[in-house]
Amino acid sequence: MKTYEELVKEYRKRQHDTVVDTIATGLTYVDEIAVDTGILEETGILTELTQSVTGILPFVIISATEGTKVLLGKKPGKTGLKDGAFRMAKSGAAMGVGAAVTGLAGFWAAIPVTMGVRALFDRYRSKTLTGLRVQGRIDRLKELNRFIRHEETQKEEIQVNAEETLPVSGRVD
Amino acid sequence: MSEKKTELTEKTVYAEKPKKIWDGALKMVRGENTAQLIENFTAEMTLVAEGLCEDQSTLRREVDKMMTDEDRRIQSLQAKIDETQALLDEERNAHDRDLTELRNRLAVLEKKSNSKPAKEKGRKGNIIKDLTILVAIAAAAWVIVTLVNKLL
Repeated sequence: MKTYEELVKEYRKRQHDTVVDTIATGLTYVDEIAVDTGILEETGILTELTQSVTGILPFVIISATEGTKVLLGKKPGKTGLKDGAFRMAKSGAAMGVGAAVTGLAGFWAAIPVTMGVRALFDRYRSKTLTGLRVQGRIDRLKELNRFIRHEETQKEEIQVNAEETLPVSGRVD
Repeated sequence: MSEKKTELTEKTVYAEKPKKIWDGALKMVRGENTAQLIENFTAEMTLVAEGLCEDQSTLRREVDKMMTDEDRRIQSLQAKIDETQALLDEERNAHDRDLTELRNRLAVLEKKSNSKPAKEKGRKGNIIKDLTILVAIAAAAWVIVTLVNKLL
């Protein structure tokens, strides 16, 4: 049986949200890189389309990953929604910082800043918000407990229904 | 200048040492920062609980899939068993039919074999009859010949 530390280490390794979001925020500059390197022209439908797509790419990725987790039954719906909102807020804030840096020093400087800020949001946490985070975690665990209970009840109901639909000769009392 | 700098750094090092010792002693008495400990513990617990829940749901899905596969296999095996049973029944019926036919034939042959001695008896009777007639003819001929010889 695994120890508590081993479990923590294993589940930490499994968390790729920060990496995914950091790369996604970096990908928002793909259109500008493409224009700068001459792959795309400064005006045109393709450029506009690329700009629109890359602008919403981090949010789409977040929605997709959280949605998949909820659909696969790995997370309760409420927690998925909350996590998605938090991730989107962090990515949005990082993109805002990136936009400010783009205005000041150009997008080549903004790429590492945006990605760095997004990664730092998950790395460093404000001490003043500890209570809020702990309360959030308690809510998450409560929601998880409800989710597990609900799943178990559903499974029991399915089993009972299956036993009821069995023919009398097939029943084992 | 450089000498002054080294003196300053030495002073700061000497000043920091007692502070570190004091902090260490306080830490030993008070323990870690409670807020930090709560933060770490709740974060880890949430992580582990959610990870375990994720594992559990994955395992449940796998078990469901395995059960479905197993049911499918059982059904296919049952179908094969039924098919084989039907074939066996058919074969048994065919054998039964053959056996009945053979028994009938045997009965007919037995009947035939039972009726043969009567015919043989009839034949023997005919032979005796014929022989008697022949002997009678021969005797009559001998009587006639004897009478003719005596009369002449």
